Amino acid sequence: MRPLEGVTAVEVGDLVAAQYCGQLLASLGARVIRIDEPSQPGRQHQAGFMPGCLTPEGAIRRLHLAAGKDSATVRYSCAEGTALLKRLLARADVLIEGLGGEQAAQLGLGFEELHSLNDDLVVASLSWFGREGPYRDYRATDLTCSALSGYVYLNGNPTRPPVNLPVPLGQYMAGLSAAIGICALLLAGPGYDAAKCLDVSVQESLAVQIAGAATDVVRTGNNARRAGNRMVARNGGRTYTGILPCADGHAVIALVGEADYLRLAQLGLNVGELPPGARQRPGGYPDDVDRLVIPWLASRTRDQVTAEAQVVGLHWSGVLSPGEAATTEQARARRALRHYKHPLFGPLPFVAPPIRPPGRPAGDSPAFHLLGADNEAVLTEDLGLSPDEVRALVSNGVI
Amino acid sequence: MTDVSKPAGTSAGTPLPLDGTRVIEVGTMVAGPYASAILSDLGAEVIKLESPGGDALRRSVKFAGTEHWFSECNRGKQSLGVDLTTARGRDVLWRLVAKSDAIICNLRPDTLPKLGLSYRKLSTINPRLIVVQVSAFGSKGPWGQRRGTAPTIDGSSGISGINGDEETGPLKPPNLFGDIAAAFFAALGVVAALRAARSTGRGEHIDLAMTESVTHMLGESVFRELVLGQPGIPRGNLNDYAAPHGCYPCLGEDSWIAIAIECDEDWRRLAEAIGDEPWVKDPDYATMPSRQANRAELDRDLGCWTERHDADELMVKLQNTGLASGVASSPQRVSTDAQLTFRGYFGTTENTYGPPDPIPRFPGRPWPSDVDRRRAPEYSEHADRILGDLLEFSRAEVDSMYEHKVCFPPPDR
Repeated sequence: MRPLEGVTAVEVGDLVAAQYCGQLLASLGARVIRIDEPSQPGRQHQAGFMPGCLTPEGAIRRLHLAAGKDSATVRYSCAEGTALLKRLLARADVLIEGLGGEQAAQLGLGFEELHSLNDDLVVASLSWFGREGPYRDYRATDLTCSALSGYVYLNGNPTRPPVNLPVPLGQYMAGLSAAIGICALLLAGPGYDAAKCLDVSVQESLAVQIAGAATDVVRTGNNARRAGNRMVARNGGRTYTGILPCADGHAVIALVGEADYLRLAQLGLNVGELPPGARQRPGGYPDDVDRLVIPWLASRTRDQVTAEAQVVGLHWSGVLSPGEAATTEQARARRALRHYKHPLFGPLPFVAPPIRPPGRPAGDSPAFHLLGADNEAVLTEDLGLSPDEVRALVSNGVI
Repeated sequence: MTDVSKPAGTSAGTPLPLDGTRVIEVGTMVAGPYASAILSDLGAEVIKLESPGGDALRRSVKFAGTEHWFSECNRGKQSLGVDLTTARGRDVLWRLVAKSDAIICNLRPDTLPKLGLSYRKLSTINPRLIVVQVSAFGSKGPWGQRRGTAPTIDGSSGISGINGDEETGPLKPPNLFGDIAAAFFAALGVVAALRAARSTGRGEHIDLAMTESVTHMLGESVFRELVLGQPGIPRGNLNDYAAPHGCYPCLGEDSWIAIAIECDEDWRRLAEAIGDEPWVKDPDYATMPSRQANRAELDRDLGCWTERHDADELMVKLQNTGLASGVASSPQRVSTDAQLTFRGYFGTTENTYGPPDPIPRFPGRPWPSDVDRRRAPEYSEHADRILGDLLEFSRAEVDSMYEHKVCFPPPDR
């Protein structure tokens, strides 16, 4: 049995966090019905399109996040569409909502309203900053919200401006947080009579990743700064880290204390070139360590660096691109990269979620449903509408 | 009827979703412990088994005087010091397993069988047990025995390869991104698998790779690289759909504001907010394509304007104009951020070493929520309770275990 078998989740809203949450639930066996408004690309376009397909079906973000979900197109911004959506929610187990506070309120998707509709409904509302608070109505993008989480400030070199994150990590952390909360609430027993709602903030979800730095300020007065590729381990300089060029790219180098200092010698490096203090505290002499290691790296590929370091017990590795990371021998052995069959584009790759429950046959891949492919099934089977009623909705532009 | 105004976890006895769930943690440092801390936040009883020397994080933070990091990773748990290299120690583990729902472990894969932590053994004792094993690359596969640390996990996951900009080159993300991402996935694995276990009576072995936890979040980048042939390289603050887009200097040392202008209407509003500066009327900035083409000059001009302003005041001004902007908050600013404070993101947690700590709350907590923030345990603080009350060893047996250093007594004994 797949963990969320028998669970029906309705997903609505363009926020990547909500879509990622839905993707995770679908990967765990839930039936996720994603509701899109017809012909509204939303923010999907901001990740680009497949060549020659500048339509919502070609939006890369959709191709990345919609596999495994049912698709219904409902104009929920009109009264009739909102009513349809609510009829669906009355029968669902979970709502994943990433609309933004104002639209959610306009549609009557407040927590109390939803629970009067369906007392058992688990409601996960995802937004940049949360449904209430001084930033509630702030306009945001991944960059600006990530900036307010504190994570961007710490990203980059000390003497240069903070650098934006390469992907919407805050939104993925938020979607993951919501998925955990949803699963926990689905587990809650009959004695649990408190809120079955989650109000997940992207800002908070990424703030988790500054990992004690805010508390550190309060406790010790230390306000962490950008450190580039140096790891700021509060252990008196025992830890050195760096990303340095090698023959075919870059390698991650890490040393902790005297044990790793001695392992440098086992690699054939002349540790005598390092200042005496580096023996115990290589992190206190990062530029010296760089200078020692760079020539050794220059003649070695990433794979060679990794292999030779591992032999002596050093945790070094090549710096991989995402595509490379998804296709290493380890990734292939673990089937971390899979393909689903898209009705228009054929086989497309996706990274399998790190939690891979049993119950799915080897080689199975999620189905990809084009926009609105499940309209009839949702309306007739889930909501019990007659063919005439469906036709009326189509002619009124509701679906 | 669900009372949606009733907060979860407001006081002892108020229900939380995972009430009645027991989780064992055999973990050290961050990835495993943070996962069980999340489950503790959601109501699970978490029993942390620590080696004779204690969790390595206890030692490392004491060196630096930052005990709150251990607090954050271990809030709300109970601790039992036990030597799992002894047969009697493993017997304690197995008795706990029989009474638990899940176990999370992030020790080295090659040590697990020696400590009685093989899935085969554990599932024989408790067929419903969820076993989550967290390791750098996953325990199965050609790299199954390979060890990794935070920077190498980030490097191998793909994120360091695309983080950074032209100036930095490949850049590891700040702090311990892979550890915390893996912790969240481990928690998800437990709460998801528990549902199936309650229906089927069968547990599950989840072999979680920290690298995969990060690579999964790079799925769109993987797609671009493999399908569209777009190289996975650092792009910094560049954005194909917004200009200006980046972090701009403000008054004061290392003070920055992030601004994202996504369309020409946004640009018009920004120009209005900027006011009487000749460069805003430059035709090279009038349209998105031309702003993209002249990014360097635009960033320079905008920076010259922003650096005359306080970051927080400027954010408010631009937000009032309907523009996406946000202070690039330092940890200090985060600790007093108005929105995080309003939402009670930092709950206060008692401890044994000083004033209460502002420890972050789990972002996926039920809402509203005022979870009592129980402190992290002292080493083996709950040994008497776990061995005597829960596992029903006699007083003599417990004393014998302490005497022979199979288990370790509470600090107040």
